[in-house]
Amino acid sequence: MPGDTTLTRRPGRFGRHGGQYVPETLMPALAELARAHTEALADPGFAADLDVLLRDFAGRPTPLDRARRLEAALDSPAPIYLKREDLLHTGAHKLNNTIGQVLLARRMGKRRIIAETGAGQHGVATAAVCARFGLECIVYMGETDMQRQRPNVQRMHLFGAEVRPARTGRRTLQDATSEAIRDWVANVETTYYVIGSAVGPHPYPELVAGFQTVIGGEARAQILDAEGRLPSHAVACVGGGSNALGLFRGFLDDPEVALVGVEAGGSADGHARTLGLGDPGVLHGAMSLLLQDEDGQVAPVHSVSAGLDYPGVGPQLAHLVDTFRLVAAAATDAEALAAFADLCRLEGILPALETAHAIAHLRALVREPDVRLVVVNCSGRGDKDLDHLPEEVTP
Amino acid sequence: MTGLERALRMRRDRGEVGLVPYLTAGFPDEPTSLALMQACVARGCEVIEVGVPFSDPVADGPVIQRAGQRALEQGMTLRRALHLVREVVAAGGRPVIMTYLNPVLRLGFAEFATAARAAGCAGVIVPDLSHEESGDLRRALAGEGLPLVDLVAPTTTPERLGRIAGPAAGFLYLVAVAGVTGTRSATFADLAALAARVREHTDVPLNIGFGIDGPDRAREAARVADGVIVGSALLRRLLEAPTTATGVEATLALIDELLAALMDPARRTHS
Repeated sequence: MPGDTTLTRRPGRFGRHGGQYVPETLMPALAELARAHTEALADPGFAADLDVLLRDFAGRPTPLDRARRLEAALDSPAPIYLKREDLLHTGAHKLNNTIGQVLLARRMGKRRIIAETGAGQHGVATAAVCARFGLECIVYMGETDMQRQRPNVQRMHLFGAEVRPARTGRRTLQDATSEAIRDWVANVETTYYVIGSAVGPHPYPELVAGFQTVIGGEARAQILDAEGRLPSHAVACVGGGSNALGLFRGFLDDPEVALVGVEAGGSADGHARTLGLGDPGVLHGAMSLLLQDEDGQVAPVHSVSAGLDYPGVGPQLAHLVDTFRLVAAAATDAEALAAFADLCRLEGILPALETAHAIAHLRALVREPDVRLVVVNCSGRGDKDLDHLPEEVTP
Repeated sequence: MTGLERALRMRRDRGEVGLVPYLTAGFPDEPTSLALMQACVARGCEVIEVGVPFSDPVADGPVIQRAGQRALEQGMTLRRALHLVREVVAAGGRPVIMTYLNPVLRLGFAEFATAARAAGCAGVIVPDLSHEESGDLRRALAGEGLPLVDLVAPTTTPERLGRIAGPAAGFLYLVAVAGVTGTRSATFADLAALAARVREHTDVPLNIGFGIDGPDRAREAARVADGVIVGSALLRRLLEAPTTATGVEATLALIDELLAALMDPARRTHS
């Protein structure tokens, strides 16, 4: 169909996914953002400012850390390396993106910053950078998530941000994102919306993934340094997909590196396996894979981790699945909780419950043939999850 | 030219301003929503916006969100809404479907266009479908003789306005405020400025919506537009009423006040 070719060639398309599906009120703002982003990328001054903040404020580069006791416990034939984004300031990879976007907001003269957050890590990262630059910060968070990630709500408050509860739907990330979009529609001329994952209308998926690519760039150089070869597998958990794309984009041009995205397999209450089980659909501004019912209503999803509890996924990841470049896997709530405990006990690393899904999948992965060297994105730390762990995990 | 546009142009030629009610299909329940739509037609509303509820309505404020959530809980779907469309046509109205994109995408553009045409639908509005992404659905609908109604907003740049308004069909939906439905009121100066900018590009009928909260705003909007769209203010009366019967009564009372405001000869006194 000729229409399809035009779609694919338009900026912001990843195959059939991506695009700009937003109310007309926002379209001029997206054009302004795309322009500002392009200009910033061409400006050496922007890159220099970003580098200094990533080094001095965030603590980059993060280490690539071999997990020998985990290897032994899994009886793994392959070395396993953790990309330690949990060591980044504020405790997760999210800060890479918020530093970049808040710098962009400053260039654009916007002084009111809004964000959505699920687990709270993106909210905390946004609030921290806003505090650093003296900007007003409002974070939308589902009421359910505010309860299960209370320490992050406190941290946002300490950084001077206002946390607004989203009380519609299931009161999770999906609803917080809708609320943030509504705020942006109403205040678009003064407000910059810092999206936390590689989702949303063009240019956000490329913009967010671009700021996260530092993860994969470092990891590639570090693994070559440590092992003198590329990994056979790069593994990351997938909610919206920013930590996964950040890692994977370092290896996209290395066809010998298999990319594995681990989604929330959930429990009897449901799942959030968008890449594995979703169908094409439009949510929050982009065409991508989507968990939905037969009438096109967004389906209720479930995960023990607030950050993976989302029915959509970034359009570039959906395209990587379409083209068989990315393998979609899943770990259940129970498997993630077990891996969470394992990593604590075996490596002295307390991972976020989101991250624990990627760790959990290693148990199955290392049994597959041709697994020779594994890099896992240890995307965040789990202090935020301590209040709500089931008893079997906390002896 | 579509039947919808012809009818709206004739109304304009008669010097009338239409009231376009937006009602959520299936709220507070399916029969009541249909009865309300039929009552609006009986009172002289020609175009009725039949709102299809969606789980994540990003262009809508709290009132339409709550109405939509209640309608979804009771099983309203795009297909069921087409059944209401058929009944509104039978009552003599011109129903326009307002839906988010995903339910249409799920049904399939061609199948939706055929079904909408068969039900007698007069046009389709999709608030989260940007003009840039609208080509495929627009073509599918045009194949069935149906217009995809475009929206323009206060933030729409002159360059975009030319691109959107130039080929507009059916009517143009003027979003009166930068915001979501039902949350704040547009000032007359805003409305007039937006309408004047749009008139430079097109003479298709203009219907103003978002932020029209009662007869005063409707009267102002009528001075610069060919039709006035009211949604949240109507649904709020249904939401706040203690019973469905009193809610219907209060909603129809507001319809009557709005119609009276639009008939007021003073409204044509241009400032």
